[in-house]
Amino acid sequence: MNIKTYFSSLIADTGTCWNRFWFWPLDRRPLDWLRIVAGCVSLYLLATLTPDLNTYFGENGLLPVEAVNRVSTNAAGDSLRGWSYLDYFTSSTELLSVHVLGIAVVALFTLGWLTPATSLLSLVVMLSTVHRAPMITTLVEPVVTLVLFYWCLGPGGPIAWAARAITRQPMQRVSVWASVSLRLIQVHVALLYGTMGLSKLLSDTWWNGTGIWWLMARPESRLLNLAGMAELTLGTTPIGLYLVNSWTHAVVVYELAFAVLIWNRTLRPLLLGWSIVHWIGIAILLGQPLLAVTMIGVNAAFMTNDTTR
Amino acid sequence: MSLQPSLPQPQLPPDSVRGFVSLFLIMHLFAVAAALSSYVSASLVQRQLVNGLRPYLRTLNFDLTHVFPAVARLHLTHAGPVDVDFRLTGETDLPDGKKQAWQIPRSGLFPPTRYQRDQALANVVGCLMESESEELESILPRALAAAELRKLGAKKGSITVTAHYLQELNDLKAAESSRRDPFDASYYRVVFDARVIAAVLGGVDLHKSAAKGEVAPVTGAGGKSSKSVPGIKTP
Repeated sequence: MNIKTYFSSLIADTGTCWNRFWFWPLDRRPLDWLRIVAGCVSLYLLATLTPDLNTYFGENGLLPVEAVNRVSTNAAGDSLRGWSYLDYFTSSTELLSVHVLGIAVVALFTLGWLTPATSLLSLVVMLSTVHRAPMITTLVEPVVTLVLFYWCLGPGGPIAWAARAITRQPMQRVSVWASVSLRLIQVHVALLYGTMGLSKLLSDTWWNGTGIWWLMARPESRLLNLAGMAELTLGTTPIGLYLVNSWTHAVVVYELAFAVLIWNRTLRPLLLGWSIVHWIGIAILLGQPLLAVTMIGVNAAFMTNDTTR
Repeated sequence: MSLQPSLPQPQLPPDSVRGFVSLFLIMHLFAVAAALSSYVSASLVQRQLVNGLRPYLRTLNFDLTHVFPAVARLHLTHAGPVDVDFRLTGETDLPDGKKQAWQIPRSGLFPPTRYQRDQALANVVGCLMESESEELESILPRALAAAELRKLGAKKGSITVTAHYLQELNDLKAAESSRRDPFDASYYRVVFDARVIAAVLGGVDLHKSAAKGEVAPVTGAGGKSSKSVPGIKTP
């Protein structure tokens, strides 16, 4: 094979694989499940914010827009925070009204009503809530907003709805729209896992096997006090220490493995199954069960027809 | 070329549509990859790229490199000085001479998500104490203290940021009981302490206590007050 043939074949094969990955029609049912997961998590986040709306964002609130803007501006003067409609409301009545309206929109989206409009509006509601005060968010919000964004590109979103209106075609269960939406969620989630794993390796903590200990040892955050586990011994063998070390290494290995091996059809069910153990463990350490619910729920994006066939 | 000979060939969108969508996908994924790869540490070229793509990334909440080190920690912990929990406490001097205490995170919040939001806020305030900018570190304490003063119509008060440092593994079996107790006073350290005085224009002035008995304005012309924020109890 000469160089010209090699590159011609490389380009042709890449094109074929690209089309196969992005444009091979997929079942949209995983997106229905993702809508319910992202919708319920968003509803919970919004509902639990309701009693503190005034405390944080009110006229005499803890986080006035000006202070949030100043703290979100980098040395070059660029704002690091996005637009939020909540910036324009400070009285308790106004805040409560727009917030309840936001909850109603997300509830309709979760129920699957008028999704071309409610999916986009739910994204605006969640992004505005995050942008209004990024300092009171956790790891859950970036995952929820990415699912909402990619959902808008799917068969139930506004673009597909407009395309169907123009071509006068009905919504189908298997479609290219579902493929693009699900593949984007898959790639983004895999990139997130890769970043989680690689960013841990920047610290000695995750190399020397104590990373999990430093999460266990945070008394204010954790859901359960597992610190005693590190003290376990069997005779002179420090079983507890071995457990902490093993858990630490397992977290890094799993996150790095997920990013790479999730694309292997045979290993995918194993990785998705292990994610339940992984995220429940992390949720206990961080005190964030909602994170486990979100990350396990997002696994639905990988339950495509080429996996479940 | 057949896409998958064993299965019936699906009908793919026209070339023009695929070309347009592919262009969007490539540009979008490039932006996401640039943002994620510069999450913890970024080269000059990554910084420039992310700066250029920031309006897009910021709008969709894909840029997790906020100024707040406590937000969206994909690495969970690096066992550094900011990988601990902070607590904000304060006292407001009421007009009748009494004092009213407040704290963040507030106690008794339900469901726990509300407590976590307060804790996240306290952690961001604590993390900003690590910044080199004295102005940046005082923005949120100033806003929080002002809110507390306004709430009670008071003119003076105080705010303190305390870090709760963590036990080492070895501390679990230490001879001294104080080291075995994660809530012992030796694990707490004040990283910011200031008097708060209501200003004429509605804001507040912070007068930071650099050391016991010494009070210095936060944004004064002088240098930064001496401050030592140690890491977690040396991992």
